[in-house]
Amino acid sequence: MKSIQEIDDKQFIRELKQFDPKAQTLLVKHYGPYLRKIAMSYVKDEAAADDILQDCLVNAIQKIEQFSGESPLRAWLRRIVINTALMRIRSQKRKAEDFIDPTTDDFDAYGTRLEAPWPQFMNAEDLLTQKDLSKTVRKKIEELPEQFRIVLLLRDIEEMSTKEVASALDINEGTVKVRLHRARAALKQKLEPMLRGEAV
Amino acid sequence: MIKALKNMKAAFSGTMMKITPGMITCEEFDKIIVDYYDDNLSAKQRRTFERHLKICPHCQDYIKAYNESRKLGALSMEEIYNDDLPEDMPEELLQAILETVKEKP
Repeated sequence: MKSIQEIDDKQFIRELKQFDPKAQTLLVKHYGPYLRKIAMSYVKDEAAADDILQDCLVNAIQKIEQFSGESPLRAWLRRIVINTALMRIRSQKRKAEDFIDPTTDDFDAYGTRLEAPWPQFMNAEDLLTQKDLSKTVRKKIEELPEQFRIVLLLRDIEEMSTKEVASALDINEGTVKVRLHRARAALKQKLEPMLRGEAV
Repeated sequence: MIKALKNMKAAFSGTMMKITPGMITCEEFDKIIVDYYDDNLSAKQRRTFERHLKICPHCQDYIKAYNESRKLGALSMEEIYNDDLPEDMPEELLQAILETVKEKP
């Protein structure tokens, strides 16, 4: 896996802080596609992702003075694009299809789990050596209803705490936990054929 | 006949879990998974969770698959975020952003 090249050397940051148009263009060209991918994973809509990207980059360029250099520029931009996406999501009404069946995990009348036996387990690292598998997994994540997908991304990918997610989404911590568990359970269900070593 | 036996076994195990002090059912176990991995349980709750996990083969399989799917999801997403993507920014979007920056210095 190649890493996106870091271009935040001191000279470049200095040029950005001096509002140098060439540095600004380089920033947009270099980090734009990366930030757009992140925006897409939150809103799943190209036009909305472009709006978020535009707001994010304009904001970042104008507020570059606030960049302390303690973390890489890429991490700073990633946080801005996620905050911009969350602001947009919060401002929209909840969609009717945002629902995961609460019985995603099945139990019998006595509270015993109904889990089909697992004669074999595939592990994540081995699975990811298969061509295009990560793309299929990302597609499964995209299929999760928005309010569950976003909690999953913030908790399990961005590694934010329950408290931080609750505050970012303006919901209570209990709701974050319930959504997180349902999202993880639903993702497990979607990835089961892969994890069981069956055809993808 | 086999189904009836399975039902009896499930009822027995579910009931036993319910009536034995310090034991929880799979459904109760399910409700504290997030808190367990966030390290938000009291020592007593933690022991109860781990005791159930130790004796319940259904939850052992479930937790293994649950954690492996979390890992698979996280690694797949990280790949997209870290990949040096070949695609360029659409030119019109690039221009729109740079224009906005100029307009609002």
